[in-house]
Amino acid sequence: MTETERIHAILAGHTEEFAWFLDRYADATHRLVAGIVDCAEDAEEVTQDAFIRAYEKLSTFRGDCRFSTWLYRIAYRLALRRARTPRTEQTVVDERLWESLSDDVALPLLDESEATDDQVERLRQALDRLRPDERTLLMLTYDEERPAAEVATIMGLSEGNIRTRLCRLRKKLFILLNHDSDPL
Amino acid sequence: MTPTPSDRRLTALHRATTPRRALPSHFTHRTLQRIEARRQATERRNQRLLAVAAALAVAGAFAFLGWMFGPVNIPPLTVSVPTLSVPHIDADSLKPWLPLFPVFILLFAFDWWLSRRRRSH
Repeated sequence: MTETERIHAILAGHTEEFAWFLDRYADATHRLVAGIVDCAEDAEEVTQDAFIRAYEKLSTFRGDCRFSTWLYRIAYRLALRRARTPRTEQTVVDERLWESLSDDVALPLLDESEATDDQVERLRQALDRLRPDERTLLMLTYDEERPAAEVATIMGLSEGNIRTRLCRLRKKLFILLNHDSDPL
Repeated sequence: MTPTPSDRRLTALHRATTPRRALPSHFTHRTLQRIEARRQATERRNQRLLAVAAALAVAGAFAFLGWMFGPVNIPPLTVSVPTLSVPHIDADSLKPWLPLFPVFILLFAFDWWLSRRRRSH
């Protein structure tokens, strides 16, 4: 049964078919939301709210994008609304260092499948110093490997904006991972 | 193609972005329960709104009739509708209406039973 067929079945009254979407996308949605809200309880609640909202608005899903894209967009908006305090910029970056980095600076650690626990922890600490939208962008692009167009749909931005932000984000993360930046 | 959850490599980014606390095992079940509870609440609210709308429609119809025909036409109405003009009610005049009461009770009971059956499924 395809996703479209399941959606039609749910709209026809077979609510139990929604369990398939929950089983398939709950963990990934939870990861997206947990990168935005601070509290674990909030992350679980927002994830559940996202699925409930998706169910209630299922008749408005036009099928012009993937269901997961549409669901992530709902979850992203709900998570941003729930995020208690906006993370303030805590990184002071040397302008000369910033300018010296190329736009396509490589981030091999992101793609490393044999990273040690220390490396993962260092990466986690670097991610904590990013803004919620930056973490989301990173996760959608490099972990979920979604094309820029889908990421733009999820985050409500233009494709050009996404590419520009990715350039800056790569530099920023490179600096955070390879150079010690003093917090404000 | 976006890798599915089962075949995605455990890259450093994936491990770093994995929440420290995973979703509980009964997340799907609990979410479906919440969805069903909200669906039933919406259905009850819609039924109440429908009842209010029906009552308003009936009241509006009677008000319109009263305004249309006016007090001048009430005597001919009382002639053509004898029960209205006869305030005295006795057992004989009530007998044709008696079966309606158990019918209403049965109707409400059936509606209640049907709602419960739907909720339990």
